[in-house]
Amino acid sequence: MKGPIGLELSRRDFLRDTSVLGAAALIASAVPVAERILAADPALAAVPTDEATMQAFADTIIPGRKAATTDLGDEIHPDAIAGVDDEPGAVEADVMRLYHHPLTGFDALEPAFLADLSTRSLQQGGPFLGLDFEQRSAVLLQALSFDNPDRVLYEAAAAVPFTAFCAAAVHETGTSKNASGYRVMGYPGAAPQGYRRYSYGRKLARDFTKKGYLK
Amino acid sequence: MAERVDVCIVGSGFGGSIAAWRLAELYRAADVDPKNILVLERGPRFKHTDFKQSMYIGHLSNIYSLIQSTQGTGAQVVVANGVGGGSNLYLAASLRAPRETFERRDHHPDDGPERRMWPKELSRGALNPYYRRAERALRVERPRWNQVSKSGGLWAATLNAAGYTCDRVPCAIDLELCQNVKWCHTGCIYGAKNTVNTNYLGAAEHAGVSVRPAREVQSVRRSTADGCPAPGK
Repeated sequence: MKGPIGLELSRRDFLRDTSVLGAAALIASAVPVAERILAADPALAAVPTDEATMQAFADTIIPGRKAATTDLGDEIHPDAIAGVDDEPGAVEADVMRLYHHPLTGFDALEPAFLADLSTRSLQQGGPFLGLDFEQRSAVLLQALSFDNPDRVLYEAAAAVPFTAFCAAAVHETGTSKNASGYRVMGYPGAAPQGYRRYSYGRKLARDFTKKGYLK
Repeated sequence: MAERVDVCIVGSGFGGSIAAWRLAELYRAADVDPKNILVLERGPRFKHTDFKQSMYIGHLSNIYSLIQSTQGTGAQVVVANGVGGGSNLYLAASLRAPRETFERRDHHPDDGPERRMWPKELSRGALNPYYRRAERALRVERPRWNQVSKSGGLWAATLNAAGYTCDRVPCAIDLELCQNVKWCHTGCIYGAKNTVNTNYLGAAEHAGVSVRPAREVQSVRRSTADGCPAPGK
């Protein structure tokens, strides 16, 4: 899809796909790309995990306020969160736990992903962690654009922050009390007691309040 | 260890469970025990109390499964995992497809002349009796306005104010048990959803059909055992 409207629609499709269920499928789709990157440079597989850079990436996808620890008490690298938002973002919502969860399958992609991210970041002036939010965004806009044949690797990596934030996928029982993503979205989460009497209870309203809201 | 059955059905979701029940009915009409109809299900058997209102990746991995195509750029398909298949996890909205769906025509300029996408035997009119049958089996009901959730009601009012019509969606849900929490997609913990376990599959098992969970079919081959018809016969 070409042109600004086409690009916007495609980005919306991408957002829809990054649900918990979509994340696993995207990660699986990205494996061939990761394999190709590793085949070109096998030494990359030995590169240790880079928590700070992954946090910085996740913060660029769903930005948050500066914070020292996550919902579950894990440490956040001081340079990871750019701080462009005043509410919690993906990093505070424990995206790292989801990245490393064995069922997510992202660990297999990480070395290739970090190598590719590093190459692109250098074009913006330095390692990803050292870039400001605008520069980080520029890196990702290029990586996610339709011009990049390897974009599925970035879609897969971006699916994880959405899943951690919007679906509280790291919590066995997520509610707005323990999961910042739910709280920011205004979503109560698990509610075993139900909302039995919470019915609209009437046919379509045709009256308006003084302020013009539907009654 | 070889086993012989009359019919082996792979999967216990909508496809498998309806086939199992209708076959069981035919067997009973012919006075034959349906016990030689076998349903194999990859996933486990769930009680509704086994489900959780949670998108925790560990829980989702139990109730959903990812089928990966190994061929080229094949699709990745997210499917339900468990006895009753997708009926455990779907939102049970039970609308009949409108007539236009079946009349739709497809036109790709490089693909030949424009044509009707569905076979002409499949029209809304032709399918109405089958819709009725399925709605009875699944116990579909349309909620009354005092059963519609608050968000649903507000949505309806908004549409109405904008000049659009709106009505309540018929659901295969027991509206007395439903608690309006909208955690349908991770399995209803109140047992309010009329999954196939509560109709087609449950009835098939009651009639004698065998349903075996935790059995994944990995390949299907023609048998060379005695008594099996030779190819082409």
